[in-house]
Amino acid sequence: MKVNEVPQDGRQAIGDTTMINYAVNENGKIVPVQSSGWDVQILAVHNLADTYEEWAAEAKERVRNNQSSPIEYFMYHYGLDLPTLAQQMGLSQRKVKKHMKPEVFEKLDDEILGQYAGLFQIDVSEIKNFKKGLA
Amino acid sequence: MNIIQKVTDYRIIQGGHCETGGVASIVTNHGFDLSEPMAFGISSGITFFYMPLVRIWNNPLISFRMAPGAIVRGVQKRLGMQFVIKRYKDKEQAMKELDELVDSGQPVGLQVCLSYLTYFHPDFRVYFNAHTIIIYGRDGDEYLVSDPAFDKYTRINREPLIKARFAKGVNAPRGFMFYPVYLSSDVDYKSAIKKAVKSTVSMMLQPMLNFVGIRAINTVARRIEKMHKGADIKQVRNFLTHIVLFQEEIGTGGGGFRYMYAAFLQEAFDRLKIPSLLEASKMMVGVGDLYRKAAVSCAKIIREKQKVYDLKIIADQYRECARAEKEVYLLLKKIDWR
Repeated sequence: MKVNEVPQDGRQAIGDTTMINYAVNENGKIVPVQSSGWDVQILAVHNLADTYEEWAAEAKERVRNNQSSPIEYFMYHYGLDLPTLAQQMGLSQRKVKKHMKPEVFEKLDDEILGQYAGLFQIDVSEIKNFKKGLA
Repeated sequence: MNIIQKVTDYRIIQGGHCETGGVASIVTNHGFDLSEPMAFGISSGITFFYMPLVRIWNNPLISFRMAPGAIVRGVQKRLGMQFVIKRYKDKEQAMKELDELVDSGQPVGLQVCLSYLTYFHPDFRVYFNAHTIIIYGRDGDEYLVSDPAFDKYTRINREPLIKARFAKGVNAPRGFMFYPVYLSSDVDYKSAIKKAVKSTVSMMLQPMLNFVGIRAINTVARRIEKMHKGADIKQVRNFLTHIVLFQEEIGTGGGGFRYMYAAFLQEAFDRLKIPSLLEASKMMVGVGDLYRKAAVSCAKIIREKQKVYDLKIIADQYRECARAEKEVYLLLKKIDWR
């Protein structure tokens, strides 16, 4: 990549900044060059976000049909997956999966729900009332 | 050269990658001239891992560089520096020691989880544990941050910082912290570069495991090709997205660190004047270009959401990367270091 080939597409996914790419300048030296963004990167980041949104939407549908619990929805909504959520909670994956069953979820006490809520950085009532909000 | 001196004006040194950039930035601010590519190369940071069993974002772990922490340790070992490297169990203890250090004028590097860093764009606040930031000061409840990926100073509150330092999951930071305490003034670059290159070459060319080195690139290519049968387009797009993210987005300096490694080889040539190093550097730039091209092809499939897609092309492009990269290491292997 030459210095003038460093993409300058004007948008960075990570925030208000440039990113460094290494490129070859006219003297053949490889130097750091600030890039204002590359569409390929933006696309990948958006696709990742979309994928999680899609999973969240599917989970929402399952909650509505009484096949899953709001925990699954919030997990995807906040960009987590099962292994990470389980580790964050300090529970086994099997246990977290269990909490995603509607009948088990109904019986969960406030302490555990509070832990989930703290992790998602939302209020407990939001998890509790999620299903009511769907109907 | 013993460094106890305070760093009063922390200069931002933006890096292509967070950990190499962080190490280079903190050491340079202490008056030891270390470029990011040198930090990366000298710690044998370049690699290729493909681990189907370790899942990140519901996809296999694909890594173009060594695990977090390896670069700090590599730099310290090869360049005769001394870092204090610590992990913590106790959050309060970790924050207390951070406060004391920062107040005494010692900038500190931390490993953190991206999703709690409030200054990142909300779209990008994904769950990713292997990010490095430098804390260089404190203003009340706010910490002054020099994030190597950013071109400006930022700030973060105490609460999110605690969460970020003690996030769990793959590559959990567990409060990882580092700062230099001793910088050697005369470094034997020749033996350091020799060791670094040799270790990289033997890892990348290893013939045993199909998930490390050149063999791993071929494994990924095979995996891409296999998806052609049966897999639905969504799955394909997710996997390709995953590759592009790890190759380009998470701060690699472009081309999955290959350009950065080329810069290291060039710097090594400037110091040692061994012609093969310059030759290898030029070849490595070519390898980086191949990776960029493959990323563009991936993007095409991700963007067009088409039903008919040709994965064979992408698989072949990655095979081409593997082949070209192998040439570079074979050349490096032949170098006569005497």
